[in-house]
Amino acid sequence: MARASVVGIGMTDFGVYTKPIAELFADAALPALEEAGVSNAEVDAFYFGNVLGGAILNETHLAPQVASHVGLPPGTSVQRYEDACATGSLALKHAVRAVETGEHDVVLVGGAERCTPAGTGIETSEMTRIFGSGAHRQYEQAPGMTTASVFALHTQRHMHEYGTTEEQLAEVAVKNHYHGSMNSRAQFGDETTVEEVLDSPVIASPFRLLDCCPFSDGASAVVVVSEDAAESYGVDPVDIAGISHQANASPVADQPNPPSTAMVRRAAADTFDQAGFGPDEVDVTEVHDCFTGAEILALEALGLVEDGRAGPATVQGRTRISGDIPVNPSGGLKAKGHPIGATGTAQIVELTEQLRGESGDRQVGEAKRALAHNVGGMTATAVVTALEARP
Amino acid sequence: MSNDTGARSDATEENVDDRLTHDRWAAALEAGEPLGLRCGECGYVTATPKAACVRCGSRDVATVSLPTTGTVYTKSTIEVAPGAQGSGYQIALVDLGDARMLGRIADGQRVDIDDTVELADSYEYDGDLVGVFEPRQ
Repeated sequence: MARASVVGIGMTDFGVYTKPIAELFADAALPALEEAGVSNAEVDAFYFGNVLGGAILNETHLAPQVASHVGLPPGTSVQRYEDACATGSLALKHAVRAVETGEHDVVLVGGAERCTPAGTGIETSEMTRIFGSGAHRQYEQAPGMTTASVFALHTQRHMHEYGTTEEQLAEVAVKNHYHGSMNSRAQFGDETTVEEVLDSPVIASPFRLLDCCPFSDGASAVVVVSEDAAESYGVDPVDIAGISHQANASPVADQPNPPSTAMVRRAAADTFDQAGFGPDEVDVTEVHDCFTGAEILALEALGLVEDGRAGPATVQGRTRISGDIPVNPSGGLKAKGHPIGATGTAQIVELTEQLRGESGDRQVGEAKRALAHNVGGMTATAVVTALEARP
Repeated sequence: MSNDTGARSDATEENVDDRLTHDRWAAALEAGEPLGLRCGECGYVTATPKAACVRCGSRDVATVSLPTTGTVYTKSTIEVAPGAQGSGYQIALVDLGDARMLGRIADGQRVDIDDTVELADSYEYDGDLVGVFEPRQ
């Protein structure tokens, strides 16, 4: 028994844009609605993810503006969501609940973000300050913690406890760039090497520039309907078998046993319980690899690899498309890009295509069950989603 | 159930005057006397002010003194940061007794995991004060 179904998907190429947020989102939303065969008047609710519009573009009350641009009639229930980098998945969670309870029949959910230095004219150090706004002001921002350095703190401890190496971290970047080279929507289409990663400048040790995802602009959208109604939309529906949202303490000093990311473990357990399958039965996964170390933590917290073994598993090629646990066939945040509010639903776009068998060169063979992992803020929020193709 | 509620209310009243605010915490830190909170129900000790226990939700939390010497749990050296933070500085999660605090390492110093560090100074960023640690000599 699925909780909801995806019947339409759309996303822009990820990269650098200067067009208004609403125009950017329309480029993802209109194709998603067209694919679903849903007219604008049939959309009951619109849940929109955007994180930094207020800080960067002086735009906050975006849902009505974007809905109006896309042409959703005034009777549509529209709302904006913000939960740092987990924003898109949080909006999805509410869409699933709305159709599951029968409150709405058709929900358009997605996100858009413009946060590149190149597209906004904001220099990197100032953008680093703005991105850090997800950190606790008094007890994380003040000591100088940045988005990269919270994952760095977890990863340094992981290296200490398990012997994970900088070379193993670099292999995550190499793998995700390889996958991204087969994704025409990816911001980085070029492959890289372990040597190039290790020669790139340090951002927050142990992470170097090529361990980090880029600043990205872009948009993504999905159309969510009830499981019962899904067959009537004319496309192969993909079912949302489970979705769970869990939080961790903030500041990071109060989180139990870094690098455990306890909120991911709780979300994964809950999602697998809803879905009725476990990590061994997942065919393809998209994880929140904002930094290479974040993918290592994710593989273990999701139960795809036992604790401490994600580095060696990556080096062995197990997480490549051709491996036994394919991870981030899209290229992940690392190569595809990370337009923050659009990332959660972009993971769903990729996995929906994988489950439909439409991923071309990067198709994971016989993919029937998929998992998405989206983390927000200073390892304080996680959403884990299980997707399933229909037999 | 009503007894439980009553117990929590009493505990809250007792602790009103003792509540650890950010201002009081920062003043103590500046004086080299770090403060935290110990939970009377689950025993968890936090190194920063809260209105209730972050682990179990109990309002039975009491202000406690934290040691000024601790052990580095993990660390990172940051090269790309907000302009006013500078660059090439290190931060660390430091275990101070039963509590863990995110601190800044003194300029020019480097620490490793399991090193012993001491609270040496405080540092102000955008109006907020944090602890600065240095390796024990």
